[in-house]
Amino acid sequence: MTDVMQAPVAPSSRRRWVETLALLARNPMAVASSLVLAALVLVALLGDRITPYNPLAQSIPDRLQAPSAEHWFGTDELGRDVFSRVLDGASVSLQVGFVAVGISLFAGTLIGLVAGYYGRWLDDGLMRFMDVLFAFPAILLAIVVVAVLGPGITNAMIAIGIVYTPIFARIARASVLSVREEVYVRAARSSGARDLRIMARHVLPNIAAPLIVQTSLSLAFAILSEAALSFLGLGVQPPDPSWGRMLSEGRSFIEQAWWMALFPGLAIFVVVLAFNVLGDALRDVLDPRQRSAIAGAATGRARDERGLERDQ
Amino acid sequence: MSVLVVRDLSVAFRTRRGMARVVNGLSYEVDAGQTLAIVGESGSGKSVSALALLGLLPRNVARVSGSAVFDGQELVGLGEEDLRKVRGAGLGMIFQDPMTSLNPVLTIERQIGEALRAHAKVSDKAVRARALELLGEVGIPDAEARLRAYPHQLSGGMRQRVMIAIALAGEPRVLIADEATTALDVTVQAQILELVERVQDEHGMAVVWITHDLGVVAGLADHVLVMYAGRCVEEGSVDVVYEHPAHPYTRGLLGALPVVDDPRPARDRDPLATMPGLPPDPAALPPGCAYYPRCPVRADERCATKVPPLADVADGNGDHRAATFYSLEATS
Repeated sequence: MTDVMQAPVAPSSRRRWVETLALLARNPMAVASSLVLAALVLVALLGDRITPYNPLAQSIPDRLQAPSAEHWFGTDELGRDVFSRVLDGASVSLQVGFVAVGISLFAGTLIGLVAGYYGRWLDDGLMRFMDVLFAFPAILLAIVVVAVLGPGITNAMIAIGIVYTPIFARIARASVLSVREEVYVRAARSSGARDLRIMARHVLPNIAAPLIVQTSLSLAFAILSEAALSFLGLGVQPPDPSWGRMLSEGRSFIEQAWWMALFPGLAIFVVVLAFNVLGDALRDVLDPRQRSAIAGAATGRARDERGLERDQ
Repeated sequence: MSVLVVRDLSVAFRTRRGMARVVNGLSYEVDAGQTLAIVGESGSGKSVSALALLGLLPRNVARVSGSAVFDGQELVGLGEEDLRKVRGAGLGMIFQDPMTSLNPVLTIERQIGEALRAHAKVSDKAVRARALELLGEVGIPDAEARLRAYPHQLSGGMRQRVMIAIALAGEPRVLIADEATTALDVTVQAQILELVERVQDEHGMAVVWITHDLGVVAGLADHVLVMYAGRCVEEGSVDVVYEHPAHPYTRGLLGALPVVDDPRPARDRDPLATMPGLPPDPAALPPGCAYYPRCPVRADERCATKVPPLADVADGNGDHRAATFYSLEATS
C-alpha cells in the first residue's frame, strides 16, 4: 500500500443532499416508511375535507357499531365514525410529535452540547437542572407546565417538549464528552477555530447518530403523552379527536368495542414504526463511512446483475 | 532572529498523587527556516511542551509557567481569544495519527475550509480555490476529486498530507510536527519528511519536529534537543550531538539504534543494546539527575543529589550543551 493508492471517491458533483436521497432510495424500507409518512402528512393537511363522515357528528342510534363497509373502523360510543376521527386526529398527533420532539431535540442538544463541551461549572449547573426535570414523573411535570401555561394543544406540545428535553441533553452530553477528546477536535483548536465553529462543525455531526435514534423513539412517546394530557383534559379539548385521546377513551369500551382502541393504536404504531425505520436508514446514510459501504454494496450488486465477476 | 523563544518552560499537572512535573525548565529557540528536533522517549514531556505553547492543555489541571515568546508576543498566560489568533496563523501543528486527526464526517474541502475560515472571512469559491492550491502543494494527485472525499477514503500518507495542507492553510511561521510520521510506514514516512522540508523551504517556516525516532532527526534537523523527564539533557547541532554525545542518556539512545548495514550474519551480530529501567514518575522525580537511577556511568557523586545544570561542552564551539557534571569526551 502506498501513498498514491487511489481510493474510490464519489464521482458525482451532485449536491450532497441529492446524493443522500439517492442512497436513501436504495433502501426499500426507508422508501416505504417515507411514503407512509408522506401520506399521513397529506391526510393531516387535508383534515376533515377527506373524511367520509363529519368526525364530530354524533349519531346515537349508530353507536358502538363493529367495522363494516359503511364504517370501516366502526363507530364509537357516541356513534361517531372512527375512521373519520382517525384521519382527523392525524393532524394533532403529527403536530404534537414534530413540535414537541422538535423542542426537546433543539433545547436538549444545545444544553448537552454546551454542558459537555465546556464542562466544569457550566456542565454541573446545566446537567443538575436537567436531573431535576428528569426526576419528576413525565406526566406530572407536563401537568405542572400545562397548569402554568393553561390547557390547550399548543401548551401541551410545549409541556411535552420540556419533559423530553433532559433525555436529549443527556444523550448529547455523553456523546460530546467522548467526541471532544478526539484528536480532530484538538487539531481544529490548534488551527485556531472558534469554539462555536468547533461545536457546530466538528462535534455536532459526530453526535448525530444517537440523537436521530432518540428522536424517532421520542416521537412515539410524545404522541402517547399527548394522549395522557388530553385524557386529563389538558391537551386536545373534546370533542376534537386525537389518536391518543381516542386510544384512552376506547380503553373503557375494550370489551364491547375493541375497534375503538385498536385503530387509533394501530395508527400510532404505524407512524412510530415509519419514523423508526426512517430514522435508522437516515442515520446510516448520513454517516460517511456507512455511506460508502452502502454505495459500494450497491455498485457490487449492480455489477453482479450485469453478470460480471465481483472479484474482477 | 528567533521566531520562537522558549525560556524555562515548565508544565505541572494536578493529580491525585500531587503535582506531576512533566516539563521542567525547558528552553530553546528556533529561527525562521530552521528545524529543531526535540527527541526523547514516551513520557519525556515533548508533546506536552508543544501543547503548552498553544494553550491546548486543560486549564484546570495544567499549570504552565516560564515564558514562550512568539514573534514578540508572550504566549504563557495569554487570553484564550489572543491565543486562538496565534493558533494556526502563527504556530501550526500536525499531529501524530492521521487516522484520528481528521474529522470522519467532513469532506476534505470542509476541513481545509474550516482552517481557512478560522482567521479570515473567505467566500466558498475562494476556499475551494485555495484548498485546491494547498492540496497541490502537498502533492495530492487528482485534488479536485479528493476535495469531495471523506478521510476514510484516503490512505494514511494521504491523510497526513491533508493534515499538512490544513496546517499550511493558516500560513504559520512555526510548524510544530508532533510525531508526524510515527504512525506511517517507512516509505510514506520518507515522503512526508521530504514534503515538510520542501514546504519549509518554500515558506521559510521554522519547524519544531517532535519525535522519538533518532533516524528522522538525523536527516532533517539543524539542531537537536534531547529531553528526559521534562528536562533538556543535551542539545546542539545534529552533527555534533550525534558524533560526540556527551550525556549518558543520549549515548544510550544512540546505542539503542539498530545497525542496518552490519555485514556480519545475524547470529554473529551484537544483540541490540537496550536501556534498562523506566523513566521516572513525574509526580516523584529523583532529587538529583533524573537519569541517575538508570545511568550506567554515575561518574560524579553530585549526580544523586543535585540536578546537573546545562553547560557548554568543550568541543561544540558554544553550540553543544549537556546537563552533566562530567565530560564523557575523554572516554570516547
